[in-house]
Amino acid sequence: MEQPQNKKEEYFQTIQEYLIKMPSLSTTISKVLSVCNSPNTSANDLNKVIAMDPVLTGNVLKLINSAYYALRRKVNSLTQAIIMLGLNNIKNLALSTAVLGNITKKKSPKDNTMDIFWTHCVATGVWAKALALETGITKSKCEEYFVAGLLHDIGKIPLIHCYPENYVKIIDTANEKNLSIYTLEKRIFGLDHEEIGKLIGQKWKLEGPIFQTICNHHHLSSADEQTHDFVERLMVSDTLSRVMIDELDENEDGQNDIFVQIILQNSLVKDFLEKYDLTVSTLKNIQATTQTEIENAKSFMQIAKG
Amino acid sequence: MKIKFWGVRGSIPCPGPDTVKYGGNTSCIELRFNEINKQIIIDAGSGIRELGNKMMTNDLTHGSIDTELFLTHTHSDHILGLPFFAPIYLKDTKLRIYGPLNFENESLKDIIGTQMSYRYFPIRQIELASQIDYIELKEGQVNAKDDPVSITAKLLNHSILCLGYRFEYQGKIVCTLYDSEPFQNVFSTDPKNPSYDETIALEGEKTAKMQNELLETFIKNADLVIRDAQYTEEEYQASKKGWGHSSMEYAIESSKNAGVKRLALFHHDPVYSDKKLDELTEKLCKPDALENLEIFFAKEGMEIIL
Repeated sequence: MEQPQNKKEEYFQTIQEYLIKMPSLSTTISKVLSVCNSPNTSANDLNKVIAMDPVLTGNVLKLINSAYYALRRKVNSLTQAIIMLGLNNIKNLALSTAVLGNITKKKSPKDNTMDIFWTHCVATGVWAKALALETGITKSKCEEYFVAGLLHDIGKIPLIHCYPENYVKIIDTANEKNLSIYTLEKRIFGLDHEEIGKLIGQKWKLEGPIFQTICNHHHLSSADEQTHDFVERLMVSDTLSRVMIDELDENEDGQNDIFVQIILQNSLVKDFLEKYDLTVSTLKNIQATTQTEIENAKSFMQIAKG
Repeated sequence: MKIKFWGVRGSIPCPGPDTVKYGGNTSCIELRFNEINKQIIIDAGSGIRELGNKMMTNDLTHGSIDTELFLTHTHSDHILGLPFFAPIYLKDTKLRIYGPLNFENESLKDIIGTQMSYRYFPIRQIELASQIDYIELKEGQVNAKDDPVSITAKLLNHSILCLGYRFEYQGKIVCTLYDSEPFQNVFSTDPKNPSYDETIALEGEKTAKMQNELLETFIKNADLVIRDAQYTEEEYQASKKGWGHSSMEYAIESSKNAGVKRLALFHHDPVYSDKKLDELTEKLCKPDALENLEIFFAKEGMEIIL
């Protein structure tokens, strides 16, 4: 499966070109267009639809943290960004990001991979927000955890978009051989989604914990000291979100015994529970609310189940 | 420092028998610093035509024209006079035009220059004899701190990027704050609203309050503030929210909070006749000994010396 060097360079070039104008996800694009084209859209709906689209969220944060503003500290909250930039500017930005994408009625395999990716990002965001709240983070700071969850795998988007068939193979091989996705990405493309995420994060002028999460959510030891605990919460959320979605697929009745078994075998999760004195039943409660939130998000975005 | 109003209207020029006293031209203000032989023009609304004519008559006798134009933003009522500003047709004129970018990253030169293309005007920007340099601004200090006239810029709440300016010269401070609507919490604060979210509602309140406080800090202790006051509070609340302008009552209250000494209510709605503005003067501009704030509606041709 390993690719020759010149092929890897070609991949890198293609990804770089894709990053110049990154569109909204195929999963979210129709809803973004309908919300932003409506003259009666409420700020709450606008916030909700942006918070469901990693590319759009990144673009809004890029704009508010751009050189136009002399900000004392970076803005990582969509709520703040919407008030400061104004509804019209946000709508324009959302529309211009959305129209870069393609809307087709018939779903391609790429769209399916993107739907699964989207569910995982939103679920990780919801988990991260809930875990932050459970571990002593104030409510007002929790949105940053949601955004970090939403954006942590942003580096996968160019790979899924530009090389959908290769990426499906990577996912299948990772499952069959119990290998990590980023190892296979590196082997095939010569760079993994953390590295591509870093390129996107730099382009969006992200820094601090969100940027550290994008770059280091598989390598906690590389995260800087100030953001260690933040990235750790995101890594745990990433794991729990993956286990939960796998179980949802295989266990339609919603029984979560397997969820409990798997998380108790995971040393990252176990250590985290011990560190913050959390119990398994807390995680089970969060899992239940997370599932409801994902379903609500899907129904808001008008995304079909499954 | 001498300040002269050459245009005080918002939206569109409105000459006629009902606007003789306050004037019908759109935004243009001239600042003169005679000791250092410097002139700054703020905005190129229709008022700049008369200013240009005066410069052709008076200033040319002292040598060629070398001046600076600060645009608050690029809406048409603030730039439409530029093609009729006679000095731009003289080959020895040097004009530096400062202004904000838009979010679409088009250059200031292109945005301003569009109105001097054959579809809108018989002379193209490229055909102008004068030397015009464009300088794109962001928030913060505009020029060197030791410049005799210190200039800082602040982004305002309007439907496009719009800058307020603070000019400081020999201990005197003049600020422009237009076009500008107070920052609003655009999110629902009604728990009965289905889209209500408590965290977002609270953060929205906090952000809007903080941004409005930053605006008051920007004009703090100014000797003169020239401020958007296009509507009465009643009109604003009834139907003008989100249009990017302030009410007179808000402009007054917020200027009092900032310890401003004189407030020029500016950017008058084109529907306001002289009679209406006289009535509003009677109602809103009563001297208030305790607050120590002098309030008046700006008039075309009015001069203030600080």
